[in-house]
Amino acid sequence: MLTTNTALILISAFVLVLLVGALLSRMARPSGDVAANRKTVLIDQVNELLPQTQCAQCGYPGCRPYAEAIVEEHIPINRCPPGGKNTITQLAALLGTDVPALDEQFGIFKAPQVARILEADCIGCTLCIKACPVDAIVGANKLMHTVMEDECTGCELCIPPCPVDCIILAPIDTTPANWAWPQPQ
Amino acid sequence: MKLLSSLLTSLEKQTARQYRFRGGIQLPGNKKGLETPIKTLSLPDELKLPLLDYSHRPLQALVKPGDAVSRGQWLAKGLASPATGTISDIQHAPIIHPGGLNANCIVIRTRSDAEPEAQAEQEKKTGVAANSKLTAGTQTVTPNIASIKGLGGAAFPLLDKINALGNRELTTLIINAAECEPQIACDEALMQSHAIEIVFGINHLVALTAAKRCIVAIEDSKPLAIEKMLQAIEASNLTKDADTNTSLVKIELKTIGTRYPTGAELPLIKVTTNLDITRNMHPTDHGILCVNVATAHAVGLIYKQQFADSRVITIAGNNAAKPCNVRVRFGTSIEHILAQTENLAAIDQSTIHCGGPLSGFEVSQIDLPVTAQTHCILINQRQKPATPVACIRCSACADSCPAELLPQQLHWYAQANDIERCTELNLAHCIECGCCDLVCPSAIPLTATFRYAKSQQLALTKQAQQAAQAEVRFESREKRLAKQEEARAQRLLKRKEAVASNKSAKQNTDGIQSALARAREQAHNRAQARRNSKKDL
Ligand code: SF4
Ligand code: SF4
Ligand code: SF4
Ligand code: SF4
Ligand code: SF4
Repeated sequence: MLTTNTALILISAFVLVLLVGALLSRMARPSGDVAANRKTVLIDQVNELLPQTQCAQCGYPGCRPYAEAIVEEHIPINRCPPGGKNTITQLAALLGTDVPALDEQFGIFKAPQVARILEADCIGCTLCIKACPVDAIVGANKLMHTVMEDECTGCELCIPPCPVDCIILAPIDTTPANWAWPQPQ
Repeated sequence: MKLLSSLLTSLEKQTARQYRFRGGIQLPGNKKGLETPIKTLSLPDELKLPLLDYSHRPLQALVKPGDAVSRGQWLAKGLASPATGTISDIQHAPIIHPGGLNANCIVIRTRSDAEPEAQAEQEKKTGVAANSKLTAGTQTVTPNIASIKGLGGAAFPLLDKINALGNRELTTLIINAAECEPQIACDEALMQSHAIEIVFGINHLVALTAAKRCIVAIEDSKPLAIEKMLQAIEASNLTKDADTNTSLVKIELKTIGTRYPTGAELPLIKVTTNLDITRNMHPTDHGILCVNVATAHAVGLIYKQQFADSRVITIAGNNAAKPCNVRVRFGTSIEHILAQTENLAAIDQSTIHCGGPLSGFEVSQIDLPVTAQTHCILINQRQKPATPVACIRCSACADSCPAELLPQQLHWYAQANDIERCTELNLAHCIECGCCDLVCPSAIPLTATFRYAKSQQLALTKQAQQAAQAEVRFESREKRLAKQEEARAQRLLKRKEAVASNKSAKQNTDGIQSALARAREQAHNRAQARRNSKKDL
């Protein structure tokens, strides 16, 4: 009697261990997926807060690569000069960290600007087109090139390659379409 | 029959009932210049037309300097030439703008001698075009509804407004004749003198939109306008009774209470139909369209084969020598208008305000062309603005707000640049009516702050859109580069393979050559052997 009881207990304990094991392994598998998922969601969220200037001043080839580095390698969040203080504050709020000052090793914050090609000087070498990260320059070999102002992020990447220095960065013009009411004193 | 008449009386009762909108304030009308009829200004030698649409986006010119243009011809999309003449220039010139900005303007040197000729040409044409098809060059076009802009102040194209209905049925067409803002009297003057033409236009608008019901709403402070409009409406309704062919609905007139800003879209809908439009809905979702009374008059002009290229402007203000209402061609300069109406005298000691006293803004010069948006020019004594003091939390601002907002809270977040909080507090629904300013005992510039915050809100939205666009372009470029890189690698690989197979082919030929050489050698050896055996013989 006693032995059958012990056997029963043993068997049920064994079954229980098996069950728990199965359950645990079941839970473990999707939890890995969830973690990976959470990471991509977080990368998306970080990327959303970055200004998408794609200037590579942060040391990464674009905003998404920097977002990935922030989430995966815990790279400091203060390396994006175009985003400035605003972006850092928002990133800190998202990631629950303190708000560091912009690391000016990577560049300084500037007011939004757009590139403009001095069309008289352009020799049509197409080098700027190759440098532009957002395809904002139009032109063809040996023909004058133009920047589409609505597409240009002002990243400055087209400036160094130009052999005749005919690309300038200028603040965005105030027009009746983009004019803003001033703040009352 | 009995049922019908009881239905009609109940309808009448309904239109007679007064509904109220929430908030708003009672203001003295202070409307002047209504005793004298509307004067039509002589055509100035020069007209200047900003190449901008109603929301200040640039328009592409269809003409160039030196071109001859005739009245009614398209100068740009939706912009018809207000006179016959020559394009003397397309220049960057100051426009009526709160920021004192410039814009590209088409300058027309007018030919007043060609006026009767243009009108005669227009009358010869049959039919009215209801599209915005553009005719470039010197061709003239038929009278076109697409040239009509809303004349209530926003200058939204009438055709776009009608098209916004989509395939929804127009249950109620409301003709906005409230004109609730103090001092502005151009619509009232128009109704007093042109009621028949207005009703003619309304009937065409009803036909054009297939409206099921049409209500003209006029504030009870305009008795003469009400009387004239009522006469014209009754006459028109009688002819509809007589004509069994017409399916046009009869026009109703509704006298509404005088309270600012009852002429704004949502308050107007509330007081005429008792309908509350919720924040996520649009009047068109309820089959409602509001059209300003002067716009309806412009529709009438088009159907009379005339031109919709002028408007009535109120000249008023405490420094105006002769307050009046004048009809002016679009593109006329403020200076010309003030000179012609003998209002130029006190200009040096005055400020010039374009638009109503609450909805408008100050301009710093008078060499500016008027547009469809300019319904009022105020010449006011200079005065120092009151110095704001701290908010006492009296909540008078919230009580007066017709948009049911919390101006005090909104102001707190707006001045701190917390646009996100402002958005949550429904900043976008502020109609910039200025009620909160008027009632605030602390003289806090609430409306100006909301205009500022709304600009910031717009800029942020635009920035987000541009960032999203840049992201897409960046990522598609990365993909393209990766593809190119892969294609290059593939090519390289292929070339390598080709070179390698070339080499092995060379080895093969080497084999053949050596085999041949061996064969030749063998043959040579055999021949040698044969020769040797012959020798032996
Ligand atoms: S510095 Fe900022 S804007 Fe420039 S690529 Fe890096 S994250 Fe994008
Ligand atoms: S045009 Fe020049 S500054 Fe503008 S996005 Fe392209 S590379 Fe950057
Ligand atoms: S790099 Fe300079 S010269 Fe060459 S196409 Fe661009 S703008 Fe013209
Ligand atoms: S200006 Fe805006 S906040 Fe002030 S009362 Fe009018 S709608 Fe309300
Ligand atoms: S009316 Fe002026 S003082 Fe009163 S609560 Fe509003 S902002 Fe404050």
